[in-house]
Amino acid sequence: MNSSTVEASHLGKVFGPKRVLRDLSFGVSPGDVVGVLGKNGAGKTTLLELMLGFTQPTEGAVRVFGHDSYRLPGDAKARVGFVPQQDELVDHLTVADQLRVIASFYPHWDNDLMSRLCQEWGIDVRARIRGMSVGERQKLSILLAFGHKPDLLILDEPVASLDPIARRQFLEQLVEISVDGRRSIVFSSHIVSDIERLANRIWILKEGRLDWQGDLDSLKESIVRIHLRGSGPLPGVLTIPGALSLRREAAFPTAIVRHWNESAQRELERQIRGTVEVEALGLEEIFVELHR
Amino acid sequence: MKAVARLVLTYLFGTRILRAFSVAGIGIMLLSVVMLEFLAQSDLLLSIPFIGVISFFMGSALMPLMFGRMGRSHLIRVLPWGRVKLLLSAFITVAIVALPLPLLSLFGMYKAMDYYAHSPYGEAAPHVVVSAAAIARIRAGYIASFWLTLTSSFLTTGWLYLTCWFITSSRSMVGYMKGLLVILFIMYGPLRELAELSASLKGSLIQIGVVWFVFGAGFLLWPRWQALSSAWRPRRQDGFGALLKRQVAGREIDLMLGTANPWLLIAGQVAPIAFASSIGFYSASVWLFYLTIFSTVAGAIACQAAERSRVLWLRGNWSRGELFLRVERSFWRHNSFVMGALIALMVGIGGYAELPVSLLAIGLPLLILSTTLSTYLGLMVTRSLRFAEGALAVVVMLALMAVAVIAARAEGGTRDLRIVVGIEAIMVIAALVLRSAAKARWEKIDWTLCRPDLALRVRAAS
Amino acid sequence: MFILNPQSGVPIYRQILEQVRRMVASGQLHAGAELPSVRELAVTHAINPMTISKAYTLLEAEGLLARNRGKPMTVVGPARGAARGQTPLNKRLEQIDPLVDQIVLAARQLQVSEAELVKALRRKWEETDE
Repeated sequence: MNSSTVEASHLGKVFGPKRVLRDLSFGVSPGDVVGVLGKNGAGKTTLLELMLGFTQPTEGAVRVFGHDSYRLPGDAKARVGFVPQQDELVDHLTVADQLRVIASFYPHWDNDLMSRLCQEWGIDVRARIRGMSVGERQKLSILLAFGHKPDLLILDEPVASLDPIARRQFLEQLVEISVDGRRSIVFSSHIVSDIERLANRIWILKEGRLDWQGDLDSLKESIVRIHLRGSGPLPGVLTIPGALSLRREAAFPTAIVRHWNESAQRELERQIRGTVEVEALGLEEIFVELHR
Repeated sequence: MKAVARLVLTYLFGTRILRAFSVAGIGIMLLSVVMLEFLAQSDLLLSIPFIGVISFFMGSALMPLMFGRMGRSHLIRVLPWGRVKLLLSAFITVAIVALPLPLLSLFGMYKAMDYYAHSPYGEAAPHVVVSAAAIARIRAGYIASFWLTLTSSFLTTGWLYLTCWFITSSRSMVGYMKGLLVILFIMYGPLRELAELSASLKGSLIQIGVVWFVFGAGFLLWPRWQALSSAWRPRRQDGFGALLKRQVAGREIDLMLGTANPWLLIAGQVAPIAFASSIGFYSASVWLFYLTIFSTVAGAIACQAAERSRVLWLRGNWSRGELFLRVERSFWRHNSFVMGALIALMVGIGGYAELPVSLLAIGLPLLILSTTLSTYLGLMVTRSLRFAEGALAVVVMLALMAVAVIAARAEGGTRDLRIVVGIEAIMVIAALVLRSAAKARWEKIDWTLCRPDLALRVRAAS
Repeated sequence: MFILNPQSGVPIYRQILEQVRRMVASGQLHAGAELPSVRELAVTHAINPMTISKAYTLLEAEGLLARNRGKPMTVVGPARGAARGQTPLNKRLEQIDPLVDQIVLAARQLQVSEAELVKALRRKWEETDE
């Protein structure tokens, strides 16, 4: 019995002449909430779709609940929930019918949860899907992924067109799902503040590679902005290990550094014969700095 | 003006497959001009420009879809004169597509005229000379006929675009049904006038004026109308929903694939056929019409199975191979309902019109085979439609038309019957080949490659 | 009971650590006081439950909190001898030392005089006084 929910080793994907993903290795454990960050076209959707078995990896493999995702058996699929970027609702059905259609595929479908959420989220079950706004469709699409209480929930930019209230309700529901520590969530979003709230692990995709993966907390602790306060003029050649950028022009130069720790600080303070002041960065700033 | 030109070019050459059709159409038309210049006219020669015209039309068949998307986008509200430019681009496209047919026929008539003016009865009677005045009169007649053909072609092209719009926009039975109703209207209206030679220039011009005035005014005033109507939007109707609701249980896969409601399609096909028969389109025309329309629709629905099946794969307890069998079964069920209704109808019509029994006997298998063939062709499209599948579809379609013509001609002649039976045998083999090709593709289906009209959206956005 | 800012550069678990430490030091959280459950805190703030568990576990290791089976976590107070269970002043001052550092540095960068800074601090103090 494999304890991790998702496991990938040296995963790569090529579409025609274009290499979308290369050499990704990662794992998702029960209870993990993984936030996937990346610029447009960084390969987020492809990565999520590989985990769902929609396509076959060109290199390596990804295993979901211990099975090759490309040949995911039915009982494993029943434990997966997915919210696609573009909803796949059937236009001419009513909300109630759409719920019924999806429910029919699962042995354990929580109708009480569905009717409670419909009420809380303001979804009219009698409405026809064709007439619903983009936001309403998205809410329904999210709802459809919750009904069978999946152990692995994969969401591809689920909140792009939700209003702040709906987004908050959605986040609270995700917390409810993850609170017992048995289920895993992987979600991509451009709304960094949502990821910052909810994720405990972060994957940053850059040009098809995992540029950073690990705890959100250690990411925040390891990538910082430092302010250099030397006693005299700074030495002309300054070696700052792991520096992403350095701005010298100001009176007190600043730098963004990755892999920051106390020994690095002591070393730098000795170099500049002064003090180094450390400023913590929010996830959004970190993300932007990593892409400079 | 630049924006309008760019829009028109996008309609005609927007995606790879559109470009292929448009370029092929233009090429074939030019070729036919050259051939008319040097070769004597014949039935076969005259049918070549038609293929060019049809191909050229197909090259811009997505114009209504792009037009509709842009017309409803928010972008159009902020662009200066956006709606007017869009409307203008549609009008120009219709004009461009409508123009080649009358031009070609004018050219053809002039060539014929030249021929007759020099030797009206050929080598046999070189002494008969047509007077100059008569030639001038006939030429004036050609010009008048040109304008008449142009206006009729303009009208028909417009209606055909409306059909395309219905079929491509809602991508469901209801869309196909609306499209078929428009075809019915064309058959009943403009085509009938042409057939009875009762079309008049004035009448056509009035029709064009009225249609475009109503359409243009409606399109330009649409935002205002929407603002007005949103104030007192009526409650959602539930009548149609009740009809569908009964069918939800046990029909989930069909609902996702869009094959749950054969009745709509049956209604949409029976009506035009009944009408066609009532105004006298018997035998060859009817066969052609049934076969092409029905097999096109069957193939078009099957085309979308791949992208719609993604949900099924993730939710159902099936491997890719098993999923194909499910989908196949769902389509057989759907098609058998529609075919059953059609066959009953055709036997009825056949009895009423006293068509020969042999025609029905070989015609019905043909109907079933063509449907099967195009369904599997549609199921083969497991990626966004590419040139290979598009070309194959066109080839199959043309082959079907040819078979239909031969079948209609085979009114009793045993040699013709043998040919038809032979062709049917080939079609059985082709269907089996396509099925195994489709099955092989579904076993490796990659859902990241079959997203709904991705290419089109990207083009329209840029 | 906590003021959490997920967008801050300070990880959420640290924010909880510091706030619990401060409230225990000041005596606002006295021995035996119950903390909100992980679930409650996670849902009301819409933040990751594991982050909260992590903070609670660290506080437990520090000896500030005690885990009770099936019940909320409780504060293990400092010796009850001191007035209202407060930690000695110098210990408490130690905790705000880094913050004072930052204020003084910022004031020097902005060339704010000592008197002006003290005045500003006093004003804030009075504003937050009940």
